[in-house]
Amino acid sequence: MKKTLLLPTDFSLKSLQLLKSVLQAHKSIEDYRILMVHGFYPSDSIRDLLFFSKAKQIDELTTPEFREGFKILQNKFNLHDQDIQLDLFSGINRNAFQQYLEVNEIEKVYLNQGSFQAIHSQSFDLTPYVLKSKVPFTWVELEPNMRESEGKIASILLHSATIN
Amino acid sequence: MIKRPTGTITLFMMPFVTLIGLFSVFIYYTVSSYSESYLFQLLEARAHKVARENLDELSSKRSAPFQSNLSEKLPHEKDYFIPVNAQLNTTVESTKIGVRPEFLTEVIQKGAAEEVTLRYLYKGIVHDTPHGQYIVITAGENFFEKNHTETLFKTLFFTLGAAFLLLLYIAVFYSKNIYKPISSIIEKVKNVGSENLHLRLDETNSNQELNALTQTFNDMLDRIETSFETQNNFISNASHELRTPLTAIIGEADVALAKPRKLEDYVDSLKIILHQAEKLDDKTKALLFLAQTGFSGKTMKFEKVRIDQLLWDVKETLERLNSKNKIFLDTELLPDNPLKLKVNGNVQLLHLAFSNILSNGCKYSDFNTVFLSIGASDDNVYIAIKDTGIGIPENEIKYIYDPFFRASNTKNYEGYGIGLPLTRNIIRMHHGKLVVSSTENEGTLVQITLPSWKPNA
Repeated sequence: MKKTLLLPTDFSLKSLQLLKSVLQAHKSIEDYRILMVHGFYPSDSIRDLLFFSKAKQIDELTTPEFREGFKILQNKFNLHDQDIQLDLFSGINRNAFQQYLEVNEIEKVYLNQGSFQAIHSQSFDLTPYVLKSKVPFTWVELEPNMRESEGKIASILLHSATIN
Repeated sequence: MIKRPTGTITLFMMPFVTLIGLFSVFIYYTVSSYSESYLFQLLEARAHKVARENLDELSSKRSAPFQSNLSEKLPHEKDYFIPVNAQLNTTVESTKIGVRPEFLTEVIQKGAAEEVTLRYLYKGIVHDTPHGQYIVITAGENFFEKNHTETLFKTLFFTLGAAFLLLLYIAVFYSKNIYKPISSIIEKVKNVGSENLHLRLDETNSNQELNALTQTFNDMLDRIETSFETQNNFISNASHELRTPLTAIIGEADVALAKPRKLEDYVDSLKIILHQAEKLDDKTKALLFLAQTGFSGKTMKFEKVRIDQLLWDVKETLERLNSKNKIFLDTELLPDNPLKLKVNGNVQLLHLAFSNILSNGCKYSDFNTVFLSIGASDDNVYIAIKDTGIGIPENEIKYIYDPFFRASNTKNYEGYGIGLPLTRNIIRMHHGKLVVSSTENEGTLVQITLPSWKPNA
């Protein structure tokens, strides 16, 4: 049985650095499944909900750089699509999040130290939910980026953090 | 002003005029055929009526045509009754009525027939009475032909004429308004020459397409201006760069020849001359390479290249060349599948490009460690090179690809300013991307993206 790790993400290259650090920290990464979750309130409009597709929405929220970076990491660790997934969480309260954690059998949550940036007006930060949940979590402090690598794939290539 | 756009006007008007003309013809024929068939219906009804009134009620056997006095007659209606018997002579009867003899025969054969002459419409039917069969013929004046044709013609012609004039007006108006901005653009573009490349078209047209056109023109002018400037800079820089060692050689030789000297002095002079000549050789070689890569890559052989191997090679070569060079190759993100690291390229050129960037990194960071990292997605190979050197001043970063340009903080380092433009040419030839970002005194980051090798490409 694979253990599942949860990484709240804002679909930025920073969160890929977090993913890289987590992947590096687990030597036998084959035993884990990783879920990168983005908080996203679905639209109120019935028509939007009718045509709502998670994959399409994720595609819309991510940048080409993020997708390329994600692929780099996937290629590096030879992870299959089912072992590392992007997901949206659309619950509105703590219980919903707790349920989400239980359904996905989350072992542990890795949090990126205070860098959440809403990429969409319907995005929200999952950190408060994680802090109040019953699942163990770890703060990961990423080394500050060089100004030059901001927004570039090079930032994933060059930076990482060590997780104890 | 350009030639009057008659072409557009005709092009614009032709379909409309044709369409309206066709409509007129169609209306004319429909109306005339409708009124004719309507009249025939009336005539048939009248024929039945007069036959019943005259033949059924009156028992007389008059065979001569007679004018009935009934009140509901059509205008200029005439009725004829011809008994069908052995004495019937169609030729005589038909001349009396004024129709063709075949008409009467047709009536007898088919029971009903129609005939159109210039003035009258004839409807003939066969009517059965107790005294035998009769041919009943009603004739009515072709009042449409007589009264309405002219009016209809007039109306249609008037409409056609009015539509033509209106269309002409609209066409002229439109073509004028459409061509006015275009001709003004043409005027302005004609004015732009090599001596006033800074001129730009103003993008104030209300028309979006035309704005896009002027925008395109302006962008093109931007590019032309930049390449003109680059060219000019290149020539002045190149001549300057080539002249510096030449001046040194000439000066040294001059001094040596000024008076007889000792043998050691000559050796010293020749050493200096040799050194300068070597410099000159280096520069011309680099220039030649730059020119070659700047042109088409026809002579280049492209093959599968494994980027990580290539980079190990580069690292080894550079560290052998100068033992102070320190390069850290980060294999952390090397993909599991080596296939993803293959790009379609020329080994020598890529080797040159990477060694250029890496040696720059070593040189300008005073031989601090240069970090090199590789990663591969499904479509691209990414290479990041980071040094902690002197960096590039922010306002000079846009000139770094100009040949012979050297940043203002590079005075203490040797170089000709050809490496980076050469590298960019090489990366371009491989359809890749080269991005340089830097902060002065902190370091420089170079990110290179190369499309990975595809089996079918």
